[in-house]
Amino acid sequence: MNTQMTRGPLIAAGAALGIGMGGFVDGIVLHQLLQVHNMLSAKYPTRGIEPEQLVVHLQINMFWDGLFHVLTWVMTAIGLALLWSAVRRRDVPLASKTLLGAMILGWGLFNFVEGVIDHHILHIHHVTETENHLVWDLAFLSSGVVMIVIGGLMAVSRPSHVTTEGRL
Amino acid sequence: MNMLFRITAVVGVALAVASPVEACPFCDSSTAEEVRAGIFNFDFGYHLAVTFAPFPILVAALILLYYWPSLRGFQRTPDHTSSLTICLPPTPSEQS
Repeated sequence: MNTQMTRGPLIAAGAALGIGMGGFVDGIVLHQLLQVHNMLSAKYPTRGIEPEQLVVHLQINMFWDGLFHVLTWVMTAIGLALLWSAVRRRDVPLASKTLLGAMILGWGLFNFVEGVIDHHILHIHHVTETENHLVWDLAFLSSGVVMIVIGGLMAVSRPSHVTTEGRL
Repeated sequence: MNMLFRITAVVGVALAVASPVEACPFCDSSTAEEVRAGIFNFDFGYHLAVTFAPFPILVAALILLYYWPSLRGFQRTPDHTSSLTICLPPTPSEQS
């Protein structure tokens, strides 16, 4: 007797983890280490202003960056819950390639959706608040598209090794 | 260089305004008042909405991936360790 298998739950779990971890990479690398791409930096800029005003703007941006991190934490938690649910199902093949591809797909989805909405529709911030921000915004968007394509192809391609051992 | 200047400026201002707790947005200082005014104002709801805006779309994408029809349907035989398939010739009733 054959069993009908589905990769949807594992791909959704990996994508959620990719969205969350991609958000954390964004927050840690861009917001904190490079100090660009802050949540409301188009409205409260951190360049070309007096030091006293800079402190206020940095703290306002830090507050909204914090709320953004709350959501990336929630997405990571959702990803863990979905992954736990997937590994307990016998009809979900556990393939590392599928999970890794889904995580890259999720990261790409994050960059693409965040870029389109925040940078190009709402203009609440840009990757850098400089005159040539469009170049950086398009590079950010392109990175999302590339990761969606690569991760998507990896996730849906036939896995070389599948296991169902260790299921509860 | 630009970043180094900004970091130096922030540290310099923090040192210049004495107590480090005054950097807190919920503290009692003129800087803190400005920060609070910049956060909890008429635009608070709008800023909250735009901060959360990408996430409903991302959750919708996850739901779509979870139930994507083409991701289900491929067949896989059970592990040989968990079951044994025995092929028997058809019975006379099945033959008829």
